[in-house]
Amino acid sequence: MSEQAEKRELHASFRPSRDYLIALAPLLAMAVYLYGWRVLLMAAASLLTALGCDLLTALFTGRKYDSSEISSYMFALIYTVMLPATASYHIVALGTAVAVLLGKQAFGGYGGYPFHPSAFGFAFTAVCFQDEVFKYPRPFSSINLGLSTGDTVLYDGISTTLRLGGVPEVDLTDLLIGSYAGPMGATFCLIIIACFVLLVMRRTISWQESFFFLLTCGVIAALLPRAQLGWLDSLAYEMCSGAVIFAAVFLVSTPSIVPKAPAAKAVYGIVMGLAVTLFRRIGYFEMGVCFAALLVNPLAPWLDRITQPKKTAKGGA
Amino acid sequence: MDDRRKKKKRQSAEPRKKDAKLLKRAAKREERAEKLKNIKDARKSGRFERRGLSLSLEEAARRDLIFLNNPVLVQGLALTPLVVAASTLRNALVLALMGFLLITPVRLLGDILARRAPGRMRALVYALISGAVYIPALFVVNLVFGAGAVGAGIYLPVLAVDGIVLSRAEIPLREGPLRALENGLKTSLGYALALLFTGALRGLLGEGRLLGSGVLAAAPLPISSTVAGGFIFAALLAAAVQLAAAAYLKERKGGEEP
Amino acid sequence: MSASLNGFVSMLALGLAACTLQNAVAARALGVSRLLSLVDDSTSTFIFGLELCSVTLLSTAAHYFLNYYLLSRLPFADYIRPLAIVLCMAVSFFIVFFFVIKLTPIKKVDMAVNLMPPAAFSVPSFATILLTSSNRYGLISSLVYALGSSIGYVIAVALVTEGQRKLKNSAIPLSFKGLPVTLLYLAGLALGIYGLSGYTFVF
Repeated sequence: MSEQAEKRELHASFRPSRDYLIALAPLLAMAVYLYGWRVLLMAAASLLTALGCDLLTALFTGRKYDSSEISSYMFALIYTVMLPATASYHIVALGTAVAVLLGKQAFGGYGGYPFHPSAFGFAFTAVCFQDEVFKYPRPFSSINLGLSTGDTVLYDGISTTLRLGGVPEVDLTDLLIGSYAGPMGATFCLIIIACFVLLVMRRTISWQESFFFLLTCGVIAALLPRAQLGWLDSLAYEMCSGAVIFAAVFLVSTPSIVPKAPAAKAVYGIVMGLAVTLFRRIGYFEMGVCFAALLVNPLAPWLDRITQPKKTAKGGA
Repeated sequence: MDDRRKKKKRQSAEPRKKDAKLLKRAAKREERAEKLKNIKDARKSGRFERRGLSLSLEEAARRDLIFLNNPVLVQGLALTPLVVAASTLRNALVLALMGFLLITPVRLLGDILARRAPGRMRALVYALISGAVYIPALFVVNLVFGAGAVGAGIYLPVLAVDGIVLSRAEIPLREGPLRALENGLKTSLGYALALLFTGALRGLLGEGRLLGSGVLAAAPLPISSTVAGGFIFAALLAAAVQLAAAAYLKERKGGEEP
Repeated sequence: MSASLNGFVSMLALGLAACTLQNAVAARALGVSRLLSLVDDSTSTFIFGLELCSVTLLSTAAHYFLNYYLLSRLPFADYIRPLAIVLCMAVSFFIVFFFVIKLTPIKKVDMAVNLMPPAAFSVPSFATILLTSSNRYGLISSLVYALGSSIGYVIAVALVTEGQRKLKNSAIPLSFKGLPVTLLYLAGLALGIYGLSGYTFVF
């Protein structure tokens, strides 16, 4: 294959990264509206860290730096929007570095990783800085742009309230538009659903894994409510909190990780839904989606193998 | 007549014996000179010489059980204590001492006692030897560290059946007591170095402490104290050793080329 | 009826915990060195797993009785416990060896027999027995824990084998090829399990 054809092929495989970045833009914009300019500074810090990590990798491996390879920025931003708006810049940088260097480049770059790099980076920083990562400011709070966020009052997320058997004090409208204390870019359910539709229409992702993931989470939430809630309220709170809908679009359906076969995608979505529900209910950390992803992502190739029909000796289907 | 012939034979044999001895000594001198010359040539050309054998770089690297073929970071033995228990320097010291007291004696005794054991029974013999050697070893560890040995938990007795102690059972070739002693000590040293470095680093980053005394105001990376952090540290160290070894071998190979 | 149901549920929970929360590899990093040598062949993983389970169960039972009637009455039990466990493993080794010879298909006998020593005198097996005695489990609890732990180990080996398949096809940097990238993969699994338990098990 000629060098130009190879380059064209490479570029086509990075289209998902560009589409994801486009999908993340409205989330960032909404986060800026609710939490202020600090969000942009955090995003800039993560993007710069991702660039630095890519350049470092090129230096150490002796490979030429490919500026069209933008998946690191995608992983960096996905990781950043799962953090609270008051997270320190060093947490942003550390998590991004772990996601890009250890979660992606160490496994061979784009497509070589067995689990989602953003999930890996988030899990890493969640273990290191649990108090900072799982405490959130309320929207329209005044947050310092500097290194310290000063006296901003922080609150537990809805997931923590549900785990303790309490009823969250957030009404349905705020829940849907994401105007409550939570991860700065992962609470805007309506916008995320719109992003999902956009990504599916552009054929960047397929719908099966996200659909079955949400279906599984929803069925369990409706049948086994945690707090003193009706099934509908339980469904709303469970689905709109803990970055479940965000995970359905940005973590569960990443094309470079999910199975290829449609049946495998469905099974993968169901298994992911079960794992996320388990982690959210009995796991140690509030936002269990990333930890669940670390255990379920490696199953994707196996699911592909077991759901594909065995070929006959003559090469038939 | 026979006696005279015998006496004549003896008299003529004696100078031949003396000549033979002189010849033998001269031959040995020549051999030593040849060996010295080979060593000097090898040093100039970058090859390794050991006991008169000319080794390839790869073989020499394989025999370097301290750095280039470190038992933990290259061969992947004794990862269990490194990843979990070596989260502080104190634990690492305890495990390193236990390693010294187990690895070499078991290797030596195993080489002697498992000599005639059939292949599949060698692991049993080594395990029994290890269990027996563990008794005085634990006594020494408790004497040195007292209650400090508790921090290593189950990973102290687990060392008795770890690959770093029992792996020799899978190789049926005899190495001889001296070689067993030498390799045992080198393995122990390589194991201890990996453990101590990891323990110090993880203790500093995970708790901000070194041997119980606070060094840093706060722990920069609390994940260092966890199993996941242990795996990450082990991976990074193993990658660093691999990189350093590859660079070193590349440089030495470059010295061999005319 | 409800007492036996409660008992069954608690045993099930113990077994599941041994398999997942306290997974031999992901939570306790036991048997990692042996795992690295097993990941290439799925057939040997299955046979090794069967042998490991059998030896662990038998050794656990043997050690339980040895501990109950002898070791727990000795003041220096901690010193001789490893030797006692090795003796229990040796007895189990011979019993399982006999059944392996009798029951394994001829094609696999050689492989099964060669895998017996590392399966019998393995770190996960040894540590499981040690844990059942240090946690003072009863006989049934010890056996359930041993079974759960062995199954958890085999699942971890299967997961790593699966991961290796993907890693073989990727352009891993030279310094990370082999041991480092496998350890990083295990770190991911360990992080996932840590998300469930939130605790590092040393005892």
